[in-house]
Amino acid sequence: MLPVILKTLLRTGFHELHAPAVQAVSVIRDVQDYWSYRTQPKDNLIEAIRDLARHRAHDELRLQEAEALEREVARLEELLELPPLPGYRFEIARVARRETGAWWQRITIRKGRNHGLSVGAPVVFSGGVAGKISEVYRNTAVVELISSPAFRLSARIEGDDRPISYQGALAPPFAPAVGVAEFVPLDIRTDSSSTPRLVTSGLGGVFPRGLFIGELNSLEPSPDGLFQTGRVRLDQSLNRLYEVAVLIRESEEGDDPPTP
Amino acid sequence: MSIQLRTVVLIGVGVLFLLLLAETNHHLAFFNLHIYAAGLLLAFPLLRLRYKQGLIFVCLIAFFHDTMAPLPFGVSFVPFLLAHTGTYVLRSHFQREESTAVVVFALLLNTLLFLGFALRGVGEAPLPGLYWQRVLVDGILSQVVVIFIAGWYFSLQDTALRFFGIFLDQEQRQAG
Repeated sequence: MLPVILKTLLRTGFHELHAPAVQAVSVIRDVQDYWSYRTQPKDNLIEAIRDLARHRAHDELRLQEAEALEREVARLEELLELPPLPGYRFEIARVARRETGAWWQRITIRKGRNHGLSVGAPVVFSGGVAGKISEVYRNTAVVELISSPAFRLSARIEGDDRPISYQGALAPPFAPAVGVAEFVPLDIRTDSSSTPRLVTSGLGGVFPRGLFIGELNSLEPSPDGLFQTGRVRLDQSLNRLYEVAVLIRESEEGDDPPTP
Repeated sequence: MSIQLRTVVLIGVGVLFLLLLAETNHHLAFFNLHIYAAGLLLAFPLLRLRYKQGLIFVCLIAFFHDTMAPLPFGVSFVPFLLAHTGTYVLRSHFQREESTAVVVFALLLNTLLFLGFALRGVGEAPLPGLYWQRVLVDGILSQVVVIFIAGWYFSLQDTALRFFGIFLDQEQRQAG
């Protein structure tokens, strides 16, 4: 009933009004975590540092491999005169609020327009795709989670180039979130020994190709008999996210620099 | 329509309640659970405020409610307004100062609003069985929480009003 501009202004105004409270609560939670870590015995800390050093050594190796692959891609692009693949910058953001209700599944992060974030930007975490940004404000942004029914994505089975459709399908209580894969080719099979991995197809240009979505753990023929429909088991840490990374296209940054 | 102090106080308490509820839901997300308690948020002001004061309260609290949800802005305003008008017509038929009556009213209102949003969301759900399972668990949890915290929340609203020198019970006895 209200004009769109007025509604947008009111929504932004009301959100910005309570955004400092959301951020403050999140910061208080961080301080609380800090003091709880301070009470840990030294032995635990030494063990954690040792684990971290081991992970870091492993990551260094992976980094070297990635750099070698990047050089190889650049060499092939030059050789075959291909346009360069789009580059992304990672903006790491803390999760200020999680909401996983029956009607929507989303998180609020502590970074926003001031950090170069824009609506539709892909969000990832250690378990693969986390979601995409649905609302951006000055210092906060709302991420629609991959388990939300409003989230749709073009996907493919790892090692197979045929595109299939993915949609979030909520998280049952006390169980990992699930999604639905549609238009799965008839020759794809699942059993207890092999669960095909679902990854992003790169079609649509929002998510880069090959990001992990989940595991296809059951399939049944679709009503038309031409395809199959299946359930996708998502990463179980999706409902306890602490930190995520927003992918910002480097070309976009050049077009629209973030405000200080 | 001037915004009176009592409306401002109740809106302040309402926003505080919404923030506390959001924080609780943040921690419950770990178990994939969610509490919906808009009925509790509305019960006291709808039963105790005058029509115009309640209207301002409903309008502002609906806007705050919508900014915390991915709903088109203003969607909650219509059901909240209907609840306000319906309550205003019916509230003289029961003992609205009695705490049991207020808790029962909050439960009924919460159930109606919860079911309204649940029916609105079913169209988007790709697995309706899973959706209704989740709605059932969240619905039961929300009602249990409303029963347990209703007394505390109504008392908080009443105490906040008394702190600013507004004594609703006294005013209503004088008016009666």
